Amino acid sequence: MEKDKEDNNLEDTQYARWLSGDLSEAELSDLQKDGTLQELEGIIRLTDQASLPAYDIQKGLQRFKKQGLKKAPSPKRRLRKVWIALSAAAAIILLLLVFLPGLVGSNPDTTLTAENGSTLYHEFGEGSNALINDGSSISYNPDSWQESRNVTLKGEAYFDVNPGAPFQISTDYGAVRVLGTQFNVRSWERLSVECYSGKVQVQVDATNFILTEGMALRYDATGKPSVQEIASQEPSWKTGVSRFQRVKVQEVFSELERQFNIQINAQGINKDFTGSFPHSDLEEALDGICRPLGLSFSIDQANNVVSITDNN
Amino acid sequence: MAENTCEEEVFEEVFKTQAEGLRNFLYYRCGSLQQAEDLVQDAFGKLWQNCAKVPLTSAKSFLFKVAKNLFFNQVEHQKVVLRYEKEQRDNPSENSPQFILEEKEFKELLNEAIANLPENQRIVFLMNRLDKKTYREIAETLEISVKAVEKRMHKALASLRLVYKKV
Repeated sequence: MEKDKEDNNLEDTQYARWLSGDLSEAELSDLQKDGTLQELEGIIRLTDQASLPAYDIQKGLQRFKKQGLKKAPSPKRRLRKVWIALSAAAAIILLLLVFLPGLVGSNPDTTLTAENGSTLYHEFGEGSNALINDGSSISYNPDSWQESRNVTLKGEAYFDVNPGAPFQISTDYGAVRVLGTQFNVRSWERLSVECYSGKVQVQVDATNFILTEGMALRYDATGKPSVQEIASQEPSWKTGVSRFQRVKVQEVFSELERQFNIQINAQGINKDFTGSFPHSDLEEALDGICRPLGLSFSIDQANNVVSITDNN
Repeated sequence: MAENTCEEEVFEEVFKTQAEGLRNFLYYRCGSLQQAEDLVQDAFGKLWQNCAKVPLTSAKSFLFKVAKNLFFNQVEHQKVVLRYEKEQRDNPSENSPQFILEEKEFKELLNEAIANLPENQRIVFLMNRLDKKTYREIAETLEISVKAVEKRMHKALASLRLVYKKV
């Protein structure tokens, strides 16, 4: 009985232990009997013939010396001397900081949040800027901005990036890398990117897409991403309109909530919506969404709540 | 006084000892040797920029952390492709064209299966088989437990066994 328990724990590492020679006689003979051993041996025999091309260390080092070494500006060398002059206690504190989550860098990130119902404009100081949409936020580390511009985005923002150090945007659904361009990144339910000028690379799961001027990353009904053309010169929300193409209407309601800073009760409504709504007028916006879908709405002005029901 | 990675000699030593392992690791992730080599340059670039904050003993861990977070500058994730050397064949029956052809097909299927492994499993498998790293060394490099390494290795082998069903 006890042996069985042990076996259960060891089963999920069995083949690994076979490979490292850590198997008991009993386990070995079991694998032999059911033919597993032969198959494993066949696999290993073949992969043992495989190899990677050797890495030319000298060549790599020469390449780094030519380009990589140059990147350390002299102020860093002054910093080094200061670091050496610190006492032992201080050095330990520095080490501890290095191991904190979030990689190196002990300076707190700057975070900018646009409230519901408003957009926030932010300049990064070297000519790049971002227009942050309702309810969205960006954060970045101003200290390391010179060497590599990394921004974490929650929600949606429009970026205008000056060429310079690599510019990268991380979201919950994927990452975007930029080279000097203007583009919109939307990551509420998935990562959508529209490129208005220049060139952007977008990484979603393990796939990379390249977008040039006039192209966007969109998703079909099954959630599969693809690159498509866009007609407009800038994202519609910048000019006061939100556009949607075949999305679940609940997403539209979420965007409505952010734009108008209201709460929407619309449980159980599960339709697809294609169209747009203006940011200027709530009634007009609700009408534009509800009428085509056969829904009706009522606005509770006192509590800033909208209730939506299905007519059918 | 702990050795400082800002000193060129020390930094060079780190490069000479870590660059190849790093390149291989990156290749197992992205499937392109050129890209892997470029990313090695990027990772060491970051180490150099942060040399004042990274003591020598943390350099390897720093490099691999940076490597894991680097953005893949590519249109498509390429598939990892293994190159096989010609094997010495002593057994005459293994020299028949039929056998060689079958083995060639099998190698292709095996390659496909390795390329399709989940990244975690693929990395562990290739670090063990190609880089000749022990489970303990792999665990230290990836900062996971030996047991975790064994589990991924087991799953990888279990998946690769399925190739036999296709033959």
